[in-house]
Amino acid sequence: MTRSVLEIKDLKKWFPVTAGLLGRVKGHVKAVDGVDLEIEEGETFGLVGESGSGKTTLGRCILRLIEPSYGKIMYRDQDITRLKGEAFRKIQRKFGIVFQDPYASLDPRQTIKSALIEPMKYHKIVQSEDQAAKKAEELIKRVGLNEDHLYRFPHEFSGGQRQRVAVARALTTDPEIIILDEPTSFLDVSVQAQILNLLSDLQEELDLTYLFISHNLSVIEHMSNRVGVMYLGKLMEAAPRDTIYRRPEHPYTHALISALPIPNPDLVRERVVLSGDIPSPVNIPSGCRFRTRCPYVKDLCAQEDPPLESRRVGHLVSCHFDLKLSSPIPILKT
Amino acid sequence: MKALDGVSFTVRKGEALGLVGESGCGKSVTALTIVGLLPENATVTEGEILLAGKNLLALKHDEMRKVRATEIAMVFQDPTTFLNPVLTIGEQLEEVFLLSPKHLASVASEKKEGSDNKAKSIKSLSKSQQKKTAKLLSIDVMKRVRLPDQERVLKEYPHELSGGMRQRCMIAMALARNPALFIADEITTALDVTIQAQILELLRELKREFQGSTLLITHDLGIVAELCDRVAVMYAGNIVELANVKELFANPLHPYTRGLIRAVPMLDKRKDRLETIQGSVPDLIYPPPGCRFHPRCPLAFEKCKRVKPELLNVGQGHTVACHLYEEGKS
Amino acid sequence: MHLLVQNKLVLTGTIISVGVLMTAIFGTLVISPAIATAINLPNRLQPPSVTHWLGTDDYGRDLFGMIVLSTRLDVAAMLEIVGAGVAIGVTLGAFSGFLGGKIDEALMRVTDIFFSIPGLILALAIAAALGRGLNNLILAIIVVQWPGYTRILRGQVLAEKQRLYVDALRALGIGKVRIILRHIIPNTIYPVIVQCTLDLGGVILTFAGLSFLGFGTSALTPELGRLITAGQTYIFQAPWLTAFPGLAILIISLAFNLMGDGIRDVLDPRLRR
Repeated sequence: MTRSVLEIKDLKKWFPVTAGLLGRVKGHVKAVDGVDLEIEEGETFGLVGESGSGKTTLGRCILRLIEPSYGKIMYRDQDITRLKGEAFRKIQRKFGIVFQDPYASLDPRQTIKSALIEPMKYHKIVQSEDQAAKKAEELIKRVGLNEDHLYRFPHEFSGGQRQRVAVARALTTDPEIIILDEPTSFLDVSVQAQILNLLSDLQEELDLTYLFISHNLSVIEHMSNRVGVMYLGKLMEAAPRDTIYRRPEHPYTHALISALPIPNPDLVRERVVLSGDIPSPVNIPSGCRFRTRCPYVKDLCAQEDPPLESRRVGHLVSCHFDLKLSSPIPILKT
Repeated sequence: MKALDGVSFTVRKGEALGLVGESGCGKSVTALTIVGLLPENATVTEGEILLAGKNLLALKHDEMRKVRATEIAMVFQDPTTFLNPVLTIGEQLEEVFLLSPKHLASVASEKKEGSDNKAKSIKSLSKSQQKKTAKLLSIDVMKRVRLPDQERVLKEYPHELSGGMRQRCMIAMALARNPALFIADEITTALDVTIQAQILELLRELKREFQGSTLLITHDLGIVAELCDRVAVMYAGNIVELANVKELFANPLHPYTRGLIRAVPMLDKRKDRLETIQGSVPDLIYPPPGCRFHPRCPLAFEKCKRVKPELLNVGQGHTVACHLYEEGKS
Repeated sequence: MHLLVQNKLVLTGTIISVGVLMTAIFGTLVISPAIATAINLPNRLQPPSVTHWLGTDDYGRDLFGMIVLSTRLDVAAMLEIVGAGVAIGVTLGAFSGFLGGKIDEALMRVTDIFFSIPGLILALAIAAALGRGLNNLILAIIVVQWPGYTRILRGQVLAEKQRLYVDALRALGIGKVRIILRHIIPNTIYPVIVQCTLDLGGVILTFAGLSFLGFGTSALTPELGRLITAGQTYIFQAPWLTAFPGLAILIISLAFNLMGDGIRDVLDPRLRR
């Protein structure tokens, strides 16, 4: 029975929108609007969504880079939502993050060695300079670079190399769970492959848990054990990877997977194309937020917001109806 | 810096040719050269670009502008740099139509009320008649790109529209010219997946209707598989392989093409590990000697370091630039 | 470095500035400080001659010697003032900008108040309020200087704290104080450095000016402003008493200004990041 490392309960993050001279609050950008999520030890949970889905904001809330407006974040049964000070710092060490932009996530004036040693010394993970230096060497080699890279500055590296450094840095505090926020979106395909392989290897070696956030469905499919699909701040569906990709039950998930172009010219696709655009998070539709684009919308959808419910074991869906949708991935047809 | 180092290909009438590669391979530069929109510090040192027999590189500034207005249409990744923010969509679309008088006149004669259906020359149309015709044509082309609410959109400014709609407007403006060549440079890269799906479906439908040729530039092999008839793979300023789309995916010959296909996670085929191409894209100011891919190629041998391979025809229109396929080597 | 050398004016300014600094530091090796107290009334108000290159002042002291000794005081004051101003301004600006909130608001209102009063007058008022004494004068000018640096730095910090690497550091659990001191300040300090080199010339003028008005220094102190004060009374009989110290102030101020220009030009491309 695996334990859950991270649990999120009804998490919300609303940003007030002010207008006028007096700064009156006109409305809210509901970036995250009630998310329930559980990530188990050792797994990779893929979080997928388009613009306005709130996936990046969710990642930042978990790390408390942004303070959640409402809800709970639990780390191994401990409520860390409002934790502060030394107690919180101890928990922070268990989390790591790799950001999307390899060019901006490192201080340009710090050598790589300095960047790696800093968290170690700050948290007193090492007892001496020597220890720190040794650990830095180990980490840099583990992510596929060499020792002399330690003495260079960020601008001397390519995007892929910088992401490796970012991964090394995330590992300095011996974390248990790493949040990967679009880690390969800015990289070329061939470099992406290197980084994804590295992440898989590290997960096995170090028993890591990943929250992998991305808009790239192919990457999520490759990396994840379970997948959650977000739309306008809420989870529409969460299930094991193969279920999500081959037997999705939410029409949004279905449309999303069917939208993805597959690099195989022999496939004949009947694609589900959603009408309209993604609504703004300031003006979320009443009832079910997906109803404005849903091909199966009925009256009930405007009146009630369907809760995220467990249809089957491990399969959560937020929809009033049991739609029995076809597989979005076409069968080979020559 | 040699951005392009001997690029040759043909786009046949009515076909969609995909130009695929990673960053720095030169695909955008190729497109910009064709359209004549290279930045000031760039020069074309050698070669020709023949559009229906006419060498575009030999044209004068004015003539090239005319070609851009009527024969080639290019759509970019970022519509905001292409659409004029201070003009409404309607004004910009009409502008395109008013540039091609023949088109305008033929439609005017079709739509003219009354019994007189003879084709009139453009000079006989009054200013207001021209504008009216242009508006009708605009609405027509907007319908073709599935833009809803055409009358309303005509009056809106680019920033009032969503990303997907802006792309449709760009495509509309491109089609408005009825070009011989339509160039699309990463037009869906900046869009959300579901919006990208809308544009891809649109392009699929348009492909059936559109009689001109398309040059589709992308890094996404999925898009290439869906929309293109033939594909050219570029690396560091060269074309390394060119083939029919089905042939390319079924039988990739160049080690780079193979590496690329194997590195991409694919929905229909589970891969435990992605195969990687070691190293990274070379510096184009000091490119590697011989074959530009040799430092990263798992199959490189002596000749690869010295001699640059030429594009060889290996049958059925499949060409590849690699020493492995010379002299009957396999 | 080569940029500093390219422009002739900047080069001249830099050379003179260095010369002034040398004089300030090593001046006492050549000129004995005793000259300041070597009152020799019979010798007073002598015009420039072979024995006294710039003449003598109203107490009969060698003017050249006095000027050399004065540079020590003036340059030291200038560096102290700018140094302290930068230290205070950077610290306040960095913490206020990074932490934000009510403290930041309050600090900005305070700097606003300082900006609303012309610097010289404010310094005057504070010096008067604090009373006589060299240290009080220096303090008064420091009080006038720091708000400018605070503003500059705070502006830079507001932009810098949005950068992704700051988020990365916060996510790693690194404390705000450390982030500010080890990362934010080093990355934002360039504009302040540029500004303070430009300020050196102005500060010395302010200092000498207030000293001229009678603040801070006593009659016998070797200080350029003071010398001019003394020379005022004898301006027609012994014009060299006002002219040479005045010229010295002008040269020093101008030299540091030009050097500051050069430094700004060198660092400018790096400011655009």
